[in-house]
Amino acid sequence: METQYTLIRLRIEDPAIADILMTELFEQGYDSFEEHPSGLDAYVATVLFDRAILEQTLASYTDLCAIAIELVEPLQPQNWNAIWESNFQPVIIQNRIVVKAPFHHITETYPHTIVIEPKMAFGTGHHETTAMMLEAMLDIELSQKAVLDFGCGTGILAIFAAQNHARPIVAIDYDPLSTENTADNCEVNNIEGITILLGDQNQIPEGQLFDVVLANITRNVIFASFDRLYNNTAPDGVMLFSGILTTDVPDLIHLAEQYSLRLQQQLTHNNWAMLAFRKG
Amino acid sequence: MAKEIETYVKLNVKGGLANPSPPIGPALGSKGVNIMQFCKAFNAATQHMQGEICPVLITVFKDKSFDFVIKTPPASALVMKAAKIQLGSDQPNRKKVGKITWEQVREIAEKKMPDLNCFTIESAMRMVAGTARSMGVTVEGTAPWA
Repeated sequence: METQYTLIRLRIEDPAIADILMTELFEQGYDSFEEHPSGLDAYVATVLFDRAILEQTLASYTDLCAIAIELVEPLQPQNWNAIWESNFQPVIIQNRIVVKAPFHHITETYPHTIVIEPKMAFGTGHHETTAMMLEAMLDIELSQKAVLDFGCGTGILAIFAAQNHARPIVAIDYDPLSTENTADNCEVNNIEGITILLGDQNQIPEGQLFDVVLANITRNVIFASFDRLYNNTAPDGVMLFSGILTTDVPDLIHLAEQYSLRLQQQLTHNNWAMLAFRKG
Repeated sequence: MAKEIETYVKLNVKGGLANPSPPIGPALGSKGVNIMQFCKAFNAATQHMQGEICPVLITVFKDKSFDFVIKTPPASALVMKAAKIQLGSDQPNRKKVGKITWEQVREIAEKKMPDLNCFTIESAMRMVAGTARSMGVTVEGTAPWA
C-alpha cells in the first residue's frame, strides 16, 4: 500500500525562519520539503499529520516573522512519473536487446525484446546501471539456471532471464509498486513462473541456491545484504552488482575479496559501475 | 551549445532514501523528468548521509534532462546537532534552550560558506549565530570581533 501524503503550503516571510521550521518539522517526522521564494511546501505522511501540533510549532515563531498556513491538501497516490513514461524512447543495448513500451512500434528486429510499462518502478534500461546489467547478462549462460533478482524494480532483469530460459527465478523488492509492476510486466511479456516477493533480504528463500544473483540497487543495500546474497549463491555461481558509483568500486572489490570471490567483469559508464564476481 | 534551462527546483529530501513519492513526484514529474533516474542518482550521491536532510538544487533542462547539486545541510540542523538538542512535537523548540560556542559557530559557518551569500567568515558566523538565537540556542562567550 502506497503511503499517502499531505501537502502543507507555508508562507514564511523570513528565509532563515523557514530554514529553522524545516528542521523542526523534519524532526517531527515530516518527510521532505520544496522551497519557494515565499516559503515552503512541506510533505508529511497523512497518518503523521496533526494540525494542532503544526499550529503550536508555528506559533513559537510568529513573533519573529509573519507565518501562515496557505494550504493543507491530502494528495491522492498517483503515477507521478506518468508524463515521462508516456513518451520515453526505446533503448537498444549492444544492438541485441531492445527495451520498449507497449506503445512503441519498432520496425528493426533484435534478438531480444523486453516490453516495460514502468509505473514508477526503476528499470527501463535508460539508466546506465540497468543497461550494464543487461549487457553483462548477454554473456552469461542463463538457460536452466536459478536466478535471483534482488531489487527487481520493473522486473526487467528477471524477465530477460526468463526469456533466456532461466528457472527458477525469484524477484524481490521492498517497494510494493515494484512488485506489482514486475507482475504486470511479466504479463505484458507473456512470462510465467517468476516468484515475486515483497520485502528485504530476509525474503530470500533460506537455503535456496542461485546460479546467478543480480543486485542493481544502491551501495548501502548491497553492503548490508552482501552476506545473505553470498550465502544464497551456488558454488561457481556468479554475482552481478550495480547501482554503485565508480568511487564505490574499490570498497566492493575489497568486500568481495573477503569472501574469496573472483572479479570477472567490470563495466563503467558515466560514473556508474557494474561488477561481476564468481564464487569458488 | 549549453542546454537551455527550463527551471530550477530546490528540494530537501532524506539522503539515500529518495523515492518517487512527494515532493519529488509532483515537483519533477510534472516537468516531464524521469523521477526514477533522479532518485537513483540522488541516492547514490547521498548514501553517506542516509536519513539526514539533504538540500538539493535541481536544474531541469528544456529537453527534460536534469542535473543537480547537493547543498550543505540547513544551518538550523547543524546548530541543533552542535547544541545536542532534539526537537519534539510536544515541545516547540524555543522553549528548549541549548548552548553552542563561537568555535562551533565558526565550524558551522565554514561548512555553510559555499551556500551562503556571504563574502567573509565573519558575516557567515553572524548569520549562523542569528539562526541559533531564533532557535533558542545561546552562543556562549564573546564574539571574536567584539
